Amino acid sequence: MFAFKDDHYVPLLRWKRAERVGLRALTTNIRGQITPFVELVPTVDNAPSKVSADIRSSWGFSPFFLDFVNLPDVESDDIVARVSEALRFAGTRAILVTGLDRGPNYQTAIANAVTTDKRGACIRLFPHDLGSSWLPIHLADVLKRLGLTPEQVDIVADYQLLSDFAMPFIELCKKLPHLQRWRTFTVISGAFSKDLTEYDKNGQYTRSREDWLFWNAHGRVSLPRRPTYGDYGIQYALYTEPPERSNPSASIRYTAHDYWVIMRGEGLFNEDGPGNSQYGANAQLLCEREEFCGRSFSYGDRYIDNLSQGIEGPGNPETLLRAGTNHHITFVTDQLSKSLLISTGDAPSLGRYPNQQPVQVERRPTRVAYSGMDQPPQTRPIK
Amino acid sequence: MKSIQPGSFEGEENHMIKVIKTEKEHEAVVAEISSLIDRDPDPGTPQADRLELLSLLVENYESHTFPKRAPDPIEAIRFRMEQQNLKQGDLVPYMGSRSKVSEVLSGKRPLTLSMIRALHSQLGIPASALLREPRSSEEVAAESVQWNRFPLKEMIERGWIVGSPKTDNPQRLLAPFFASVGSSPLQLAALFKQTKTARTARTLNPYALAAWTARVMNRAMEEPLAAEYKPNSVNMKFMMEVARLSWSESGPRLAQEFLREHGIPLIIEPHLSNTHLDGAALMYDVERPVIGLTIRHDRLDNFWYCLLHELGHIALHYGRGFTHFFDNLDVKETSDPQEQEADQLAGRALIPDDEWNRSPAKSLRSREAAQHLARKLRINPAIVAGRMRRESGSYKILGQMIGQGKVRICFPEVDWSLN
Repeated sequence: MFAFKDDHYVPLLRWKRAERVGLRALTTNIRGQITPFVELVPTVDNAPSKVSADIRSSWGFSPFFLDFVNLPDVESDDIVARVSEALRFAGTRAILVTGLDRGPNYQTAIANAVTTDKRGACIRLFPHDLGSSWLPIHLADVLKRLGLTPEQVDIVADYQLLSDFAMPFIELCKKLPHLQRWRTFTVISGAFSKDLTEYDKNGQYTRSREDWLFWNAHGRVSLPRRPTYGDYGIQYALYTEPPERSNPSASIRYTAHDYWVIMRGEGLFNEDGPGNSQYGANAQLLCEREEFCGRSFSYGDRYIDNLSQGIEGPGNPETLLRAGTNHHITFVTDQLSKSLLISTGDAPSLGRYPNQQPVQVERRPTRVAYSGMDQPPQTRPIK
Repeated sequence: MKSIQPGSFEGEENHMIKVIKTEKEHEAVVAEISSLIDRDPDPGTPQADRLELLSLLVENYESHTFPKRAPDPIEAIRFRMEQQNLKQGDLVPYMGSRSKVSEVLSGKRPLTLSMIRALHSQLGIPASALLREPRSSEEVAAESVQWNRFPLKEMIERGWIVGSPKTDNPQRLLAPFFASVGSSPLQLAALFKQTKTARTARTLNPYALAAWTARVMNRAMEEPLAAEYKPNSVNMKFMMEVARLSWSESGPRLAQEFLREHGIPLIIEPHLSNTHLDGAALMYDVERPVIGLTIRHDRLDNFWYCLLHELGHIALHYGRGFTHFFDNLDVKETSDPQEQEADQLAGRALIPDDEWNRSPAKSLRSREAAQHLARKLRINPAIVAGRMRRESGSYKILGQMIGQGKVRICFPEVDWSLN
């Protein structure tokens, strides 16, 4: 059975070490409430055996989405076939992702894997797909190529940058054919900045989590089908590689209720600068902020707390991204559970921040519909 | 007509040479003479001729301005020692022993007749000079004070003294003013001598410094005593208590009142030209120390550091033979052990070492880091920001946090327009 409950979460993760370790460190409870959407990236070793080993060690044998869209030679290379074979051999359960404008070789490779795996596929729709009046025709074409029915397909509407594309869910539901038939239906969007250059060095800031706010605003109205929440976490929605020989600032990105806390230091390689010691110092400040969830909240929070006490450290961009990603996934999962509990009036009033009101709530994901929702829960099976 | 400019050699022989009439002209010619001497011109060259001529002019000016005085015996002996490159040990044959030589040269022992005879016959020192009475310390000191070099005009403008620099005799005008630190030339000379040890990056004008010091002492004497100063009452705990007053916006004023209640006058007195002074701990009075601050930099971080530094001097050095410490705290590095001690104590009283080492402010250069530590210590964030700037050596950071313009307003009774 492959189904998303109402509080399910689809975090998009670029398959680098920080994200891999952040994912691996999630608790069993959290892992049960998410399905990661993995994007392979060209700057790391994508040897099939390594990808499959990493997936197995970081995520295990639960279903996950896997997209090759960022790999430059995907159309001319047989990497899709080789990786999917390695994953199959490793016993992992990838749901391969395709889209409406992928090349014919790519579509064929996906179709072949889907036929072998009998696990269905995921179709990822970008803003230009969603805005096109040809959407039903293109979807039908891809379904035909894959040899799948909508019931065997997961739809991911990828809004990418919410600042550029923000189609209301009610409109999205109208545009999407076979709305009730898709196995799962998810909207992913991103609101984090490309980098931190818009923030002055040596400061603390908050940035509104527009992706979360948008989902809350548009997901609580009466909809024929409510999409599952997905996001780009603390990364920019459009994939870019950091410039070589850069001097990154020592920064921490920390997810709070409806905003991110951003602590930006100065360049790590600045002459006579404080370098990596900034991480521990900023962690100390973060741990005393009301948004800090406490060291027992997640692996990421424990790492930050250890950093603040000098137990671990001195920290670097990767370890902080790892901690930030792990905290974000945990936080959003928690947030989704609680927001649904609150919406039904079944739970006691919750403090916004664990540092404020450490209210204990039973963490039992429940399938609870918003009042007024008349669609069935997303419980379509996966073979 | 070009005037004589020191240090310019090109075509200087073409400059018209005229009789020296003012001190400014005198200084310019002396500077040119030393430049010419450095160049060591060959005899007969125009430069050599010019050097000779200028030397005559200077000699003429000085003979009128500084009346000649016959040397006393000690000066005569020292002059001959310098001429013949003699050491004290070389005089033992003429005086009897090394200790006698030392005592004679320090003025503690008079010359005996046999000594005079030997020094005259063997070293050729005129007997008239050896027979003269040595001058008293008072006389030496009196000659070293040039009363007209005090910043009379500035002192009159500030209302420190009343009179006219043109018509009144400077010595008569100034003597009462210096009563607090000692109006005798001997005490003034001692003060000047000690300014050489002041913590400063440049040469201080000793006359301006002496005037400022006397002003602070005069005002301190006018301060009503709220309490008697208790020896050793200034210690780390006391200083930390003072530092915590910084939490208030009117902290500088509160600190002044707090110190007054503990018998320590804190006098706010803008510095005079050419002193570049932040503050001083003045310990002339055996009953109570006095702190003078100029608030040259109108910044909270500077105020609190200066104040705690001077308190550090009092904690460490009051009653231990020191009379004063003058501080220009722009000078970060000092080899003076007393200054180092006061720096360290002030630093620790404001921000204890262990707190600093544990604080994000040690590694970050952010406003939040400064505020975090300030909250913890209950001190003004400007103090932390100042420490962060000093430790990092980066004075571009946290410029908005150091309390610019927030000290002088606490002392509206001071006329800051003269600064």
